[in-house]
Amino acid sequence: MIDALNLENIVKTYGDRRVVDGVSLDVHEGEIFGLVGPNGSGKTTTIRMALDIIRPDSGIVALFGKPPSRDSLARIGYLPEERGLFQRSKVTQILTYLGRLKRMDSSSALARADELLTRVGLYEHRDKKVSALSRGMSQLVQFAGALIHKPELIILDEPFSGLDPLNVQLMKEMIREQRESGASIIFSTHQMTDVEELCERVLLINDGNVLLYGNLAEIKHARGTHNVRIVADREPASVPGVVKAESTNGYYEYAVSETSRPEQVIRAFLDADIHVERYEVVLPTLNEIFIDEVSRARHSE
Amino acid sequence: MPDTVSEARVVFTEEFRRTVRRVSYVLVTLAVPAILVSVFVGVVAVRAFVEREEDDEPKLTGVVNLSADLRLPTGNFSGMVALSTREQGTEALLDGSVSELYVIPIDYLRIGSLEWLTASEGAFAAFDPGPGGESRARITNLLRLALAEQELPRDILARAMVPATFERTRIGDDGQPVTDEDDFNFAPLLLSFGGSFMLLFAISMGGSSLVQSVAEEKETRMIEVLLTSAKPMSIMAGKVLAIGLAGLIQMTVWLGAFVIVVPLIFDIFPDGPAFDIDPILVIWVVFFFVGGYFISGVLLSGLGAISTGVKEANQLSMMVILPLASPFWFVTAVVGNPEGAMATGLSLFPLTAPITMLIRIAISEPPVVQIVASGLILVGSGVVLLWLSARVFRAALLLYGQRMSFGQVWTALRQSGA
Repeated sequence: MIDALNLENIVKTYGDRRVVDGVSLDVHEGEIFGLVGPNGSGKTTTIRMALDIIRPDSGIVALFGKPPSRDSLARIGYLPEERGLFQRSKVTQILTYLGRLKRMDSSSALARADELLTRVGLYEHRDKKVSALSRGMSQLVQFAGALIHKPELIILDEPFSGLDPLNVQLMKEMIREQRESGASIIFSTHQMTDVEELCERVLLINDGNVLLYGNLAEIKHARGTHNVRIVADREPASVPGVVKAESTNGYYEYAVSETSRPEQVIRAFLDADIHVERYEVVLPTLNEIFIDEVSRARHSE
Repeated sequence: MPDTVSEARVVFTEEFRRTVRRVSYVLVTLAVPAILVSVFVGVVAVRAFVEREEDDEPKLTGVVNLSADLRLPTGNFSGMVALSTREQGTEALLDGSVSELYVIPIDYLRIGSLEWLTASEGAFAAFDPGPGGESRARITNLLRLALAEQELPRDILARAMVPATFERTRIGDDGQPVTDEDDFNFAPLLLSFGGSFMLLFAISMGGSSLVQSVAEEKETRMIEVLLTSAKPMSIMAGKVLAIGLAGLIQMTVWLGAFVIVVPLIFDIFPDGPAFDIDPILVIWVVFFFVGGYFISGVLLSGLGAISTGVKEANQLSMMVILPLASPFWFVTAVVGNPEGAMATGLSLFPLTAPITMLIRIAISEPPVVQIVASGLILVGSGVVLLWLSARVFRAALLLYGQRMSFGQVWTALRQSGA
């Protein structure tokens, strides 16, 4: 199976600053891939190199197994981070224009525009000028523009910023629909909860360097079996191997040292003859991993 | 290459659609015909007014009888004064003691025609189409009386019913008739200067919409989406050609109105200046208009790309419009010596070539080789600039809120992928 995107050790330097420093990643067919990093970490530059908008100083970019070409770019849908549309144009005209740029004929583009506008609930606004739409509506139109030509690879840069929860939910549903229809999706954001909800694999980037890359569940398991949550009447006088403890209304959370095991915590409760209602080993959230990794990287500089 | 053409065609179609549907474009396009029609209506109204004034205002009319066979009746005729010679008559006309002069020629009884002389001075002199109603009645009555008092053959007497036709003559400052050869043909001058002003006007309007379009796409990041769908060269070419076609349509409407309405206006002046339109001149005007539009459009697109926003883009557009208009600053030197070094130099510099050449073609006959060289330089440099701008375009458009440094421009020019 050919990957939708392969980046191999790509580097981009602006002046003295290395904005992207040796990033490598693969985006498989039919997966939602999370590109995660703080603001200014190099996510957008990486995306632009993937889209051939800018060229890397070194490294290899492959779209659908080949160097970027007009043919491969025509198979990609892109929603940039900061969005805008021609204010004086009508919604349908813009979507048709974007479709035609992606090699659709006018009638197919128009039919697809109607279909997408119906899906995002903006069909009745199809003949309105963009300037008459709210910001959220305008974003949905641009999202529809990214999907107009049924792309095989969809790149979404901070797609939910500025949207209300209902529209975020709508967009998430549509992203899942796209994956189910076989498209690969790259989802760039610094909102970790969205990534956890949508993505199977992630790449965490900071200052142009890859901090983490791989399957999200594996990453969590690899660094996440040291947190224990217990619901009990009380806690024992001492719990061995714990480096951090918090308690709220009968919920007790412990971070155990890397040399200790989580079972030591429940054993301490049972040894103290305390009734335990619930015990779970909690995987770290991506947000925690993100903060941990980025902080560590910044401290090591 | 087919991709580039196909992409450029899509961009072209969209840009053209957006441009020609702008209210400002429609208004500006229709403004010139509307103005010309207004001028035409105004001239017709002024002419009617002058004719009525002539009828209303009593004025002294001089009569010179050179015909030995026709004796004018003696006695006082209201508003008329007899003068003995043509010279005496023209002097009276020039010093204003008579406002018009009828000269009865020596062979009047044979030809039945009078000469009607007026001074060529005065704001409305050229509007005089012929003798006014009252003047015509006075001279007609005088001639009828003279013819009736003489024993003349029946056929000549029959003329008494319609005693004369009039040959109009305008007298210049030197007392000599103003002939057609003395009249200046206004067509080349109006066409060339009109074309030059139209170019400046069209660039100011269309060019500013082009530069704004590029700057807006950069500001809103729409350009990122476009760059994933089309090459910078396709985007630029599509934009420039669309704005160019919109300009050409504008020019065609303006030129069409000019060619149709202006001769009608000149026709109102019976002995007014000549207005003969040379088709070759029309071709040159259109060529230099399109060429000027093309090169300005390319440069304005580039400036829109390197600007930090729409506001700055509008300011930067003056960097193109000012050099384009600069031949007007040197118009005295160009008109004074249309084949001189200044005129030739400005004709061969791409941005000043369109207007300089149009001025030179209007007032002189520049060598064809210079006209062709000027055109080739204009088009050639436009194509080269399009290619260079496309290379800078991609890099510049991604520098949000920043202007490109010379180093960045150089780097962009060296990279491939336009």
